[in-house]
Amino acid sequence: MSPDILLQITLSGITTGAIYAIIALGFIIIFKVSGVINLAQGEFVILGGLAMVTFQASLKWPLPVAFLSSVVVVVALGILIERLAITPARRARGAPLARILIMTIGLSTFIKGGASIIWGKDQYYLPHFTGDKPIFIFGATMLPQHIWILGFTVLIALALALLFSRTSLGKAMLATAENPDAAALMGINVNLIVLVSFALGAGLGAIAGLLVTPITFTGYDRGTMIGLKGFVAASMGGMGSTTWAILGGLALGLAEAFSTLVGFGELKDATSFMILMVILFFMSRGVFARART
Amino acid sequence: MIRTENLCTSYGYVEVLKNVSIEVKTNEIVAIIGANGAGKSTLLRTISGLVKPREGKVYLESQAVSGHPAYRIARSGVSLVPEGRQIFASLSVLDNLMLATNARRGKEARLTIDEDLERVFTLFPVLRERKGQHGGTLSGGQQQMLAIARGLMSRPKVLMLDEPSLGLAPILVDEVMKVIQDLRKQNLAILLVEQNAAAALQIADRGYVLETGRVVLQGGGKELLNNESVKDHYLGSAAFSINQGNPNR
Ligand SMILES: Nc1ncnc2c1ncn2[C@@H]1O[C@H](COP(=O)(O)OP(=O)(O)OP(=O)(O)O)[C@@H](O)[C@H]1O
Ligand SMILES: [Mg+2]
Repeated sequence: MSPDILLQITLSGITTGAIYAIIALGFIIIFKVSGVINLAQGEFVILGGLAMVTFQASLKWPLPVAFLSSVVVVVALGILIERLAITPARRARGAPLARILIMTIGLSTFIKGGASIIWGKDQYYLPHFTGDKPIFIFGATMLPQHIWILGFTVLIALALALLFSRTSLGKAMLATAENPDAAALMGINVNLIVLVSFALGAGLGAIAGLLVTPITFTGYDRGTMIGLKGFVAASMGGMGSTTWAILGGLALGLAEAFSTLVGFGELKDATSFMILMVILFFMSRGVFARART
Repeated sequence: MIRTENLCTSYGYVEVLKNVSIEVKTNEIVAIIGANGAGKSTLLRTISGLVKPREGKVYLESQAVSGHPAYRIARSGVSLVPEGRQIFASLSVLDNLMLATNARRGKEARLTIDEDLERVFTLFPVLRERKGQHGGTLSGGQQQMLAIARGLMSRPKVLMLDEPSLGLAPILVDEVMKVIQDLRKQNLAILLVEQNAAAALQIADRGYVLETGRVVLQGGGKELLNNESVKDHYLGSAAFSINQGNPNR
């Protein structure tokens, strides 16, 4: 096998992995702060792309405006969902997190239905941010959109690192994640912090969707698969830290890319599920212990 | 400063507090003593808003605060140093202290943060040495100091401490009690819950004895220390109930 092909596969694995990493970060932040595994995370990704289709392709808004507006719309939806569904469920006496998990599946179905009413059942694509002329790197090629994806991933990782290490909001989120009662005793409005985590999770999902749609197409029902990939990436990172979520995303992207070497294109998705099964089988006690309490 | 009126709290169908009325004034240390499961922690958790009372009221400076969420009660000046310390193990000592300043309201209160930080570092020099370390790496005694210091960093009017001596070596218990005694002079109302009744009553101005959720005895600290039934039940080896045979139970 030529080194060119290996490099090509590695590059494409890393860019796909970067998208999974961003989605995984959304999962982790919501899970750590609120204890909720939000299985509607994939829908935030898809909605980000679809909103962009409306703002950029239909309404012809300039790219940065359409980009920001799409993120804002999805964040607003995340906030709405948290206030109308998640918070009441968390407050309900004896609502175990498993029940809230099922509820998020219901929410994802609901969003899918709404999206199919607004955007129909068509497939959509978006123009690349800055053209689609390939760039050659040591015999392998990359699209400018790939560079955008990697750039945004680095930016997001840095921004989150700053948030959690330098700001009092970030510290309040960490404190809430560790011990919500003790956080409340510090004067932290825990419900507000949970709301912020949903807004952030939704926003990260939307950004992932905006970045990836130019190279993959999108449609109302694509959320389940891409959400699951993000969840696998988060689980590979132990559902624990943001750094590990990013590594999990990259590892999953690479695993998928290299699985295509074995032959079948379809093996790509099967790879994620196999990894998920292995994780659920061997690590469920540690990783998901908190989800059960 | 803070007063409860016929406070009743239940967990599900289990009544834990029954008509508890207590009061703590500024510059006063009030001890609550009682056996395991008497409801001491529940009382503090109810006052702090972590648990909602089923009936009764909590007044802070004659304003009813019961029913408010815990973060708002913390912001109005009631600080709880919870049972088992509950410091944030994954955050640094300094972060733990700074988090408590979320409870401060008003510009003036924010301006004195550095000054107060200096004060708690003087009170507990070991915290200054370890301020960059994660809370989880501290020893039990140091964690207790951090928990108390954190409670002070919210700049409270009322400081409630839930078993600050639990799990500490006797020499540290004395040190912690000394600190609490010194805090009295700083315009604080202190509510001290202890199973170590001797240590608590020695520094307390007044005390209440809690038994299965009821106040069964109250009086001055020295008075309770010399009370025969308190001596029998809480100062020696804890045995049976003061209230034994009381038809009202
Ligand atoms: N979250 C809870 N749910 C149900 N019952 C509880 C809960 N917390 C405490 N209890 C019960 O309420 C009663 C009072 O508990 P509490 O913790 O207030 O007692 P305590 O006086 O602080 O005891 P200790 O000295 O052991 O700390 C006990 O019978 C306990 O089992
Ligand atoms: Mg207790």
